[in-house]
Amino acid sequence: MMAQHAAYRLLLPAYSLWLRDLKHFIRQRSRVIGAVGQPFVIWIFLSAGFRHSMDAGGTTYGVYLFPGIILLIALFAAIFSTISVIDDRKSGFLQGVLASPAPRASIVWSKMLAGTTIALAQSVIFLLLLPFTGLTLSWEGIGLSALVLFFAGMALTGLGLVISWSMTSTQGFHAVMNLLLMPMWLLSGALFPPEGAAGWLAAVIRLNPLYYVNALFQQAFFLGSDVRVAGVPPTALSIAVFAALFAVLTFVSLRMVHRK
Amino acid sequence: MLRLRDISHTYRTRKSGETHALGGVSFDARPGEVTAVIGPNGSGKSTMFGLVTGGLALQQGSVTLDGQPVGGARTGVVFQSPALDQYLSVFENLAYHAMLFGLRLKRSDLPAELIDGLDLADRLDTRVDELSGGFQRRVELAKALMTEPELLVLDEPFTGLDPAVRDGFFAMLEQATTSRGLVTLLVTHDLGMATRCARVVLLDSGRVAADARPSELLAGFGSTVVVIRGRELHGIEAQVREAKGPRTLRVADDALLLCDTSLRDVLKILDEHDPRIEDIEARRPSLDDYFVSVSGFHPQGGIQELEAA
Repeated sequence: MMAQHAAYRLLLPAYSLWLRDLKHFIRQRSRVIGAVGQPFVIWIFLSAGFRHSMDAGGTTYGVYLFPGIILLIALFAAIFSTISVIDDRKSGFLQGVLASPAPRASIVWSKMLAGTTIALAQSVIFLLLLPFTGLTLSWEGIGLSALVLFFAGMALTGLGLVISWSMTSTQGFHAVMNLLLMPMWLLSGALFPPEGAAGWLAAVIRLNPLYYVNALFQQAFFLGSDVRVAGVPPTALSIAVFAALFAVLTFVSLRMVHRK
Repeated sequence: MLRLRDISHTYRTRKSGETHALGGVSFDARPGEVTAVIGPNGSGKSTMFGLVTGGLALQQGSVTLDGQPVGGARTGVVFQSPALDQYLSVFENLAYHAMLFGLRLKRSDLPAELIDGLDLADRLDTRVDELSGGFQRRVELAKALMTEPELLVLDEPFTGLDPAVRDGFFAMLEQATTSRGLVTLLVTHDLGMATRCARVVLLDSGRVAADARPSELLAGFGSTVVVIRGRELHGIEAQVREAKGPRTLRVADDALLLCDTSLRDVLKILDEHDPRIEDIEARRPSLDDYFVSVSGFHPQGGIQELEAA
């Protein structure tokens, strides 16, 4: 056993908790099957169901929906990554971490990175469906969307952490998920653009920070392809809202874990 | 030396207002000794545990280890509910825990004395959820000791263990404490185990009701106590009092404890065939007896009536 440099003491606990979360994910077969299968099923059913019902602005609905499903993957990865905080608190594992000299910030960073890693890995698997859409992605589009997805995963896991940290039951978390997180995705522009929606709903969509994350991700995803998504907010505005969302959630998460 | 000085702690909630959990608690725990902290439910044991392990913020007083504030890498903690990851192997649990302390651990780095001593060498690759409760406790102890702490704090570590495993676990704990010169603080309801500790601190209503060696606490009980179980205990108490017999404590509705006496002396006072007596037992006094005599509560049996004759 060898003591490491002081900076290592900050990163090593985060690495330890991140690795633990990944092993948890991999060793829960049902979770892996659910995580990989669910976006496939949702995309196939929705894109087939709304095939002729939705005006996707010059492309098929399946293509329009594709980046939105990847955002949903990030959302689910964030939810399942942070719901484990409640289980960890119940099982006593979390109190062991809190009683250790590990900086509490390491809990936040490890959770955010674990949720994001799982989201990125699931997204790569989901991309196997891409040939069925007839869409070809550009390399710059792939790189940029991976970058946006990385920060989206971090922000959404931060949101999940803020919710789950003070919760005592997983049932309660599921209720919040159904009441807040899923509607956030439904009204993010991932399923339908705000332009065709009722006035009040379009206003709600524009107040939803996930709308700007989705818009940015769509723009990055379709970069260099023939697909043009109409009615997206200005890129600068999307970046500003996204950056503010990320900063606020990270700040609140870090403050929260330091509270005794 | 672990030194707690004038510790007070108040919980404030919107629903129930202020609850004073600890009020001016002071005591010391020495290196190389296991110090037990006992007390009835609500006596402040968990609050004290939280303050010593850093789970709660100190409101008043000080908790120091050799003059320095406690916490950080110098403290090893064993919780009541196992703080182990059930999906990971024993080695993974140990290695990941070491990383929380800034240490990278290879299999060859594992302290052989500790792992062999806890009989974990053949189970390093076993997933924790496949281990018995006793072995999970051993992994907990290995985790806590692996980082070479100076202070070891354990909260009800015997919960769910059968007596043989519990005894073995305590022996390991005692051995580690003496061989490493650890300050070991054991928060427990198990008075049998507390009797085996070098020192016992009794908390009652957030205050220290007693702080002494078990033998000192039991000095007033003599070498033998007699427990009588039966009906109409007032009659039996009166009989003992009339005969100016041993000090009598009512320890339950249906039980009397007669201190510093012998079965023969008690039987002399009482009619041997008294129909009110259902059971009579002579034994060595234990901390249970002390606990009930001081607080009127038995830590595992709820509220008991106490009357000193």
